[in-house]
Amino acid sequence: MEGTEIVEDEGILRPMKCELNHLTMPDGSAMFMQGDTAVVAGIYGPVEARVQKMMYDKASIEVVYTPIKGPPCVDDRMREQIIKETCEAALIATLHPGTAICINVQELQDSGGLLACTVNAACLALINSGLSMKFMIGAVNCMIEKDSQKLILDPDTTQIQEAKATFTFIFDSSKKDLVSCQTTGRFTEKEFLYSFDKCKEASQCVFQFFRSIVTKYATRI
Amino acid sequence: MREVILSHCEKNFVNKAIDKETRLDGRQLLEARPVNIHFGSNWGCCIVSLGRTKAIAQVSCDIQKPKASRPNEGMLHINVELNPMAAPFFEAGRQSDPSVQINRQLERCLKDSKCIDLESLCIVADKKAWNLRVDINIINHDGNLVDCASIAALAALMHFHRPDVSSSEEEIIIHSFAEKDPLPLTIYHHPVCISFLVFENGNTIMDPTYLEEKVGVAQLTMGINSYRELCSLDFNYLTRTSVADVIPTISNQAANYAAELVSLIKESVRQDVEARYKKEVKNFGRFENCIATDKLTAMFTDKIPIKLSSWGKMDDREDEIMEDQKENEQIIKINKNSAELLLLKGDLFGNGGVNTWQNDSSSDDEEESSDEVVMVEETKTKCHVLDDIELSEDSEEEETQNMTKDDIQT
Repeated sequence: MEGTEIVEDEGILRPMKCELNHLTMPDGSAMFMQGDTAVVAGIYGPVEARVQKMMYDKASIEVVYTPIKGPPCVDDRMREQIIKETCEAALIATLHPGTAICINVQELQDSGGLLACTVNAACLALINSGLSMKFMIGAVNCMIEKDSQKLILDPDTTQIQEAKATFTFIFDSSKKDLVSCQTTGRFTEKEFLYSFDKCKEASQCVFQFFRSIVTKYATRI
Repeated sequence: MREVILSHCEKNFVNKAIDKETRLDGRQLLEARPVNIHFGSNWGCCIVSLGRTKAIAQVSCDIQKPKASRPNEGMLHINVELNPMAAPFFEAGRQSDPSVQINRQLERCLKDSKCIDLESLCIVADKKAWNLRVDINIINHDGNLVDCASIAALAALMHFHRPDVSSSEEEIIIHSFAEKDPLPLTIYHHPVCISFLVFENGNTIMDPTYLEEKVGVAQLTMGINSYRELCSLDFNYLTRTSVADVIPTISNQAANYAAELVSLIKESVRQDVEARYKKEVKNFGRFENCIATDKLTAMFTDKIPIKLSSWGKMDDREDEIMEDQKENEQIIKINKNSAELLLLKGDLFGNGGVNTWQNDSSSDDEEESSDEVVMVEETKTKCHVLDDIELSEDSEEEETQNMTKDDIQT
């Protein structure tokens, strides 16, 4: 591995697998896998909103994230909040005043980069549901290795244990701007900006994947 | 969101079909939907689909003090969650009536039938014992949640392996999977729930769908193991029907199907566990195989290698990076045209070049002014339309279309 400029397993996104319309009950659903990390997302919307949560000028967006085991903990609530705020930025909520859009995400397996996988699954489910969006959202996870100070894109569970810091960046597809980001660990500003740049480049592959799946079925309908 | 009420037409239609011994999905009256089981990469994790009903089960374990009443036994908790993904009328994080009912049925089927050897889960009597927890999440609701959940729970329990422990006098060491091979649970017999639904006319069907469940008048769930032994029974009815009417007609079919189902679960668990023991890469019955490869809406990619610009040069340009990235940052935040401007400014900076602030505002002004132009045009068109309405009411639509075309051209 050493000696070459481009280390082979660093600039690699794990294989992505996806099926839209995975579930029959929700209006839009997707099962999304990045490597072994798997997530199912289902969307109901626009549906009748509960009176407490109804907003007269736009749709209220509810997100429920269910972990695979046990009741939801603080981390899960935080993940829920990130998905909610990201989807609020992407959806055009004013098109459906007084209604609710329910985004449900179920974790199936966590082998690193769960938040990124969750956001990507939610985006695919939103695409499948046909709700109007300003832009697509794509998330990329990366980490900085403790010893070598190297940046690793889309790490798995074994790699993450060596991490000094992990970053999850969520980008929009139109302006390629940052929508939200989540970090763990200690890092310098320089490292942050460096990983931001790299993830931004990698996010294009995620968007390319989204586009190709839509073109695959849209051209044949 | 409230559950949508079933219309009379649908109700009558289903009833009439059942009268003629026909079911909407083309099954026989006493025929179940196909079962598919896929395992995750952790022990005790599986997705079960029964037709279009889908459930996910995950078994987890930790060490707790055993109950005072049973000091030499481990514990088993079953928790069924009706995920709001499954149906819009399920609410998250709240114990609703149906979820309590399914939970109780599974507890009776799996816990009260003593199919799992809890005594082997005890480590130190009265002090430490394994506490098993089965979490079942329903993710798609197409009727017969109990059967699907029970298959998922049984498959997960059969698949689950707990870490090995060794205890000396005082302390207990839990060995990680790398140190010692994990141990499977001891299961005496394998009970599954089989559901039936009785209709107004007395016909009984097996494995009802969501629509049929709403039309039926009595629901019977039997917990049966592969030795044709009854482990639990649940009868839920709306009208005057008795268990005695239903049971004789279906008990034989239920026992046969239970044996068939258990052998199917056993086989798929055995295949997956053996592949893991041999550390083979198994390319069926895993999560990724849930995704139907032949579907138009499915998509796969191999690993995507990305050649990033200046990859791995992070150390070389430590000093430059800050400046570089500040520039980069600015370029990102401002759209393309103005980014070019900024670079020019950077060159001119300190050389008595043009005031950057002014430049910025002027470009902003341009944008704003262009916006304004568009706005003016829109208002103009509206005026025109209004005029047209007054003049000739007939050609409203045509007129507006013409105007929008003009807009685009300008």
